[in-house]
Amino acid sequence: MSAPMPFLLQVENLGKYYPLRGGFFNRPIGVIKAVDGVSFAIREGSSFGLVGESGSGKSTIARCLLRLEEPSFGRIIFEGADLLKLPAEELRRRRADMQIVFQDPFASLNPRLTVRDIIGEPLVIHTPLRGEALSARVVELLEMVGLGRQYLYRFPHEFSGGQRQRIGIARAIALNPKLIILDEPTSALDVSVQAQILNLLDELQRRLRLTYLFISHDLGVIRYICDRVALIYRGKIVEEDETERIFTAPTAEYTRTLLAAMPIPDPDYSPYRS
Amino acid sequence: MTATSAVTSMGPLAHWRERNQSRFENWRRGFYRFRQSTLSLVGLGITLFIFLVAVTGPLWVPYPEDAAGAVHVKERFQPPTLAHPFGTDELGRDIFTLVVIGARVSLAVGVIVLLSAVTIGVLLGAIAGFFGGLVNEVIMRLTDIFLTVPSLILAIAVAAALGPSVLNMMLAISLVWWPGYCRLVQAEVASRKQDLYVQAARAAGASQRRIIFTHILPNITSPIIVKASLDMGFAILTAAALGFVGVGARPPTPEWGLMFSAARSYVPQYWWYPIFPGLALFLTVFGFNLLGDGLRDVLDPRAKR
Repeated sequence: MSAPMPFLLQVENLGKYYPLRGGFFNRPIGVIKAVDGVSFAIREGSSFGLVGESGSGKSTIARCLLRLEEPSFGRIIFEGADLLKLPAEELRRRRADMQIVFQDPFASLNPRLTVRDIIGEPLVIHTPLRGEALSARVVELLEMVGLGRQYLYRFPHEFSGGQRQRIGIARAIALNPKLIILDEPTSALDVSVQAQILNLLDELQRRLRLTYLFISHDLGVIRYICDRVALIYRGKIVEEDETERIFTAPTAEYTRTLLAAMPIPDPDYSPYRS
Repeated sequence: MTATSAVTSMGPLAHWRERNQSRFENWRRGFYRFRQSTLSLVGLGITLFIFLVAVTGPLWVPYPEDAAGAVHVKERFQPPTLAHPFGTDELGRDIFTLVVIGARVSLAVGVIVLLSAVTIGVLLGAIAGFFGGLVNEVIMRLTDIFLTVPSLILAIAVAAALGPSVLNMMLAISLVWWPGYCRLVQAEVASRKQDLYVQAARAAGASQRRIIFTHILPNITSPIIVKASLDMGFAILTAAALGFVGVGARPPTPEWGLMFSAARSYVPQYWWYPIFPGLALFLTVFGFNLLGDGLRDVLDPRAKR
């Protein structure tokens, strides 16, 4: 390997606390520490995996990075600037470089908009492209994700889950972003479709020099796609290392437990065979 | 670029057809579901018929001058005949003409009241639901205050205070009609706001205006349309009630509630006088209710009874 690439995203001591209210007059009676002092850094062009069980805080981290949720404390340094200190207009422009693909492809596409309007929305917001030029760019994006121009004026309900996720990916790459946050992009899909989507993501990463933050609870998927992995448990990172080292020589107890729970994809080891 | 030529190589008509193909397909399916229920079709038929009568009425009513206040004392209280299919009233006016022209007044009141009530309700409800917090509290408590006062009483009070006229009556009914829409829209917006596609738009950097108008409102039109079509009949009924108690339309405006009120003292001898305006009112409210039920089945299949 040549010299390491510079960091694209650095997260330092990020935290998100939710007040817990109850009793008379909704008094605050405590806090839920959804994310509690998380730090990690992602190099340009790499894939960073964030693994954890449900409720461990991985999606909250994604929402904080996108500023859909205001973090309680910490720093998010993206392309050299602290996102939490940027003025609103500057933040809006930076958003073009950081996009997200959501888990549920059935809920993340507006049912009232055509594919052209869904994929074209980031372009309408951030670029002067309109009309025919916009259509042409959307067709280009559709072809990049393995769909064709015949789908331009279709509505989301006419597509399968895998196709919808491709539309979600096309929307995410529309602005040529640097970082894409993949929030469990395959966990709502059939296994065969999962593989297709993972291959597509892999191909797009190489073609567009994308950096991925891949959030998942599926260790097999993480191992396939990520260079580095962080394991998160109850809002804290318990272990972070290169993917192969995590899988071959885990140090934290939690990591070992997770790996032990992984199914072995070999029929000879199946408990259903004698 | 190949993609550009692929888009522009078609003729404008073919392009238009391609762009809207999926939309037509959606409508076709919606109409199919609507057609499954005979009652919805009857409702649609009645409603279309009444609109047609209201729009074209002045062109073919037998005695157009009667609707403008003409008086023929010699012909008062004629029973229904070929010349006067619904009979005549105490001033010798043709009741058929009055009922037909009255449809214009009633429909105009219904449409205008609903347009203004929906506009006010959607605007306030969307603001309350989207921004939440203190704004929400202020708007929703105001709405609650309006909802605690019986709407007919409030409408009568407002109409009486403003003075009887068709315009003031519309104003009074609109004023008591918006809170229902405000509540509906507030709840819908607050829940749509959490939807993933709205989050996706926010992540893409969409403005609040864009989020409200392209992502949230288009997704809540169905319950609004259903409620409006069901409400249309009731708004017309309320207008007739105001006319009946004398704070609505003034004579000689041919208004069904007003005619019914005037006819009270002449029954049962001159039975045709109240019967025909009453039947017209019944048919209109009935038609809109059936239509509303049918639309609900098409647009909001989960809310089926």
